[in-house]
Amino acid sequence: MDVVQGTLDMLVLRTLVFGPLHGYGIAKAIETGSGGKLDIEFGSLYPALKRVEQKGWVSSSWETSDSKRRAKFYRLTPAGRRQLQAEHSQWTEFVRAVAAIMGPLPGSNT
Amino acid sequence: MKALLRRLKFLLPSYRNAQEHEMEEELAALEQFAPRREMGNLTRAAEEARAVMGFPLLDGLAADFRYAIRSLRRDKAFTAVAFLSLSIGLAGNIAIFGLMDALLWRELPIRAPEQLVSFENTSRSYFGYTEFALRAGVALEDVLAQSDVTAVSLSAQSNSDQKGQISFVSGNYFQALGVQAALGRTIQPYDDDRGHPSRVVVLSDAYWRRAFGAGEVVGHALYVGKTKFEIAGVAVPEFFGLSVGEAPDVWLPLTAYQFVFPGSGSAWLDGKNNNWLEIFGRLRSGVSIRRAQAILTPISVDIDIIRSRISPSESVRRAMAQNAIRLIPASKGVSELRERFSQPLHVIFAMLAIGLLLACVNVISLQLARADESRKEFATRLAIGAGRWRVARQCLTEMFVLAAASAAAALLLYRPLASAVISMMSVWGDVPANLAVRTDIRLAWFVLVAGVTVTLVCGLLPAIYATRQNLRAGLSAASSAIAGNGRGAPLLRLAGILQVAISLVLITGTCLFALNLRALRNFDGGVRRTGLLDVEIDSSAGGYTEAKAVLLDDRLRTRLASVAGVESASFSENGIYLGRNSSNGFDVDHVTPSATERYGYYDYVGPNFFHTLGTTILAGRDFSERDTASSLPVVIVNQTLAKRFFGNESPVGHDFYMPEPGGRKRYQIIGVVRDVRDNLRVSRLTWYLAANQHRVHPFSTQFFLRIARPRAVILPAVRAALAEEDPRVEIASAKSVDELLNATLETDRLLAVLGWTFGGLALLLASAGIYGLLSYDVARRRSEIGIRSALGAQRADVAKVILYQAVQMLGFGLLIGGAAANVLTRFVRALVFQIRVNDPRIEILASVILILSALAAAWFPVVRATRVDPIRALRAE
Repeated sequence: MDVVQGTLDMLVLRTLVFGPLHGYGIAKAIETGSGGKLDIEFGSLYPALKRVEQKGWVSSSWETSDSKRRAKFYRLTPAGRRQLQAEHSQWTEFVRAVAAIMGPLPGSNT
Repeated sequence: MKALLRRLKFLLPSYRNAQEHEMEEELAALEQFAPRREMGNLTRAAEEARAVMGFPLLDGLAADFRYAIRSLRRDKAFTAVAFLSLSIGLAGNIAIFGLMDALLWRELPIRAPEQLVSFENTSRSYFGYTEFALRAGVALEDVLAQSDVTAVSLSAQSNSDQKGQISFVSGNYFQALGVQAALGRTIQPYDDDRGHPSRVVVLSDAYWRRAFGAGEVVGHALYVGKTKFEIAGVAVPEFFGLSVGEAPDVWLPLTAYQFVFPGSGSAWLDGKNNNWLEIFGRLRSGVSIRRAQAILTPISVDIDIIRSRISPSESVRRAMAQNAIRLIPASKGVSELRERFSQPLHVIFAMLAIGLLLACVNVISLQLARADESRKEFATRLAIGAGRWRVARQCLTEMFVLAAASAAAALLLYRPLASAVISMMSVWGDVPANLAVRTDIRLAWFVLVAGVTVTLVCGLLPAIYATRQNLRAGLSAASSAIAGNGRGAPLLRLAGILQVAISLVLITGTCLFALNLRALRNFDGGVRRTGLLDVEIDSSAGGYTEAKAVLLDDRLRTRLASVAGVESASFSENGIYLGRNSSNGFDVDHVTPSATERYGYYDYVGPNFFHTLGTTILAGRDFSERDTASSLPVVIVNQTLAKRFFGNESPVGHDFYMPEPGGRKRYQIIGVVRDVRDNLRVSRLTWYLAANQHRVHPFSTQFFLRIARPRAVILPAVRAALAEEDPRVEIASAKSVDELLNATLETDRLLAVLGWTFGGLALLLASAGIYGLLSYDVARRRSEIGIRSALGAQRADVAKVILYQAVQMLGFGLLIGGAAANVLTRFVRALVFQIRVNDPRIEILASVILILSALAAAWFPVVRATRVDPIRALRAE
């Protein structure tokens, strides 16, 4: 399954709520969090990561991971938290609205 | 806001490099532990991240420019050829655009130029001007007048032979035009007072700089002719008068005419039939041109009646009013040059534009050949993820850099080019054209548009071609001979055909104008042009009264005729081919119904005039010594006048009337002569009167000498003879009529010279193009040729294969070009006279020239092809 256009930024912010992660870690977190349904290639995630960093929603620093590897870790900034809040409520409204229209198809028994 | 700032910061090289480095490190670190498979294309990820961080367009552009300059420097031969042909092409176009703007399109630098109108195209007398100034107030705010420029001696010292151009203007001229003085003051109405004329002059900015080094001049003396004037001021730099191309050095009040030409000036100011002024007016607001014409016509009729001293019947008056006055909008000034050169300049502009197109096609074909060679590179770049648009943009950027560099070079080149063209133009006789081509916003726009057009024309096709390449073919078999018959070949061949076609059009034009000039060189202008000398004699220092001066002319003529080596001598007031003329109305006692125009040109000439010129007398006789003040007044008319008014009858013996200060005067026609004219385009109604029957002396006299010895031998003898007669009489100038007549052919010469230049360049470009294409073809097909010769093909067979290409391009090119030339030459029909424009011989001549040079260009590549060593060629694979 591909990520719906424009939601990748939000997904990145959401995964960072639990704490700082490096780029590959974010990709992994989205994959496991979606139960393996969203398979995001790092190549497409990376520009999104840079974009939210550019907007000041995340900050980054070099840290050493649990497995003693140096990597660049990203963490949510207060601005990012506010942004996530806003996008989150927008998103739930959007999902509810779409679900209302997309009720069971007539003539189908499921 | 912050985000934008951060993005802007990314344009700083140091910040950007740090960020780049950071990114590299981060990705490298991740690569250490993340599985390769899951990471995807990291190069592409980095590229897209860069786009997020900075301004990808700007970044890309900067990179494009760096890359373009690098690749242009690497490919020096291509860059040099493209740069040279484009800069020459652009320079020519810019020069002619500047010239056309100055001559045809630019508004005068005066107050409210849209209100300015000029009084038809014929000139008027001082009397006519004052009448209009007095009575035209209802329609015109101001009526102003200027004379044509005249060359006289002009200097701060009293005895100098430096010449300058002067123009006489009415006292209100500068005020009415709203033209200020940069220094001192302009001419004022009180300077131009017939009762108390002042001796003041206003200098043009250019003359002030040239003659006085822009120093202090107000109140200083300036000698105009032999008379001392006071310099009142200097006009603002941009003002050059109302005649575009004539730009006088000095302006004087009209009434100063009598000081500059002491012999006859008063007569010119008082004589009601001496037409030497151009009149302009400033329309009152709310008055249309049509209404102004209606108001001015009765005034004009009155002036004509007073001039001709007739008291007309009502019907004649009404007939005169039919000949209504015509006003012409003059916001762009008036210009004799404009009328003559407008068409030739348009043609030259068109030829130059075609020339630039040819240069572009040349660059395109070079680009295509290059693109073929750099296929591998493009394919590689496409394969590693560069967008097609990016590759196309690369091509366009490269072309843009080339076009910009060429335009910059062209801006350095165009001024000397424009000056060279202007130096080939003259207003008339000894008055050179004086035009300033200005580098301003209009020119800048033109350069920009031309540059962008060149970029798009030259860059777009190769750009599309570069991105359309088959990736796999590009990578695997970029230089393979067997697969070498790639997609470039048909496009390249098309470019070659276009080159030949465009060259043929240009060369046809060249042949046309060159043959035209040759034909015109044989044009005799109605006289025997060789061995005829025109000597202008200035007798103003002699202090002769008018009547005595008339006698002096005939005495000088007799004296000059006796000089050894002079076969015959005569004189005339206006001379021939000098652009000077007198005009008047006339009437004859016998009129064919179709002849309604009774206005023409006349001259006073001495005995044996036509005999001396070598002009054929078609009927009757030449003037002789027996035509004197006491004998019957006689006139000789030209062929055009005789034909128009008498048809096939002989006019000899009929009566001819001309309005003169004493009333209508009757002459008897004693002869008909061939037209003496300075160009093939116009035949004017012309008549000649006997100078010896006339009482008013002109301010200069042109003597004509039919000589049997070289002019260098004759002139000292002439000078000695004049000194014997009166030492105060001087030779003002001496020219051979042959040269004068040549000078009148300058529009044709301009076309021919420029035509030769462009035609030559076109030939060079086409040859270079064909050479390049065939060379490329040979290089590309090296191994094919190698295989052919290995299989037993003879050298002749190999040559045939390559030559076939050349012949094919030539054939199609000539067909297309021939058809185009056939259509285009119709537009220049009005410019060529002696030859038929669609004469097939011209196109055949052009084709032969083109074929010969193309085959010459093909020679080297063909020879190279026959020398291909099969073993080496195959081993190279």
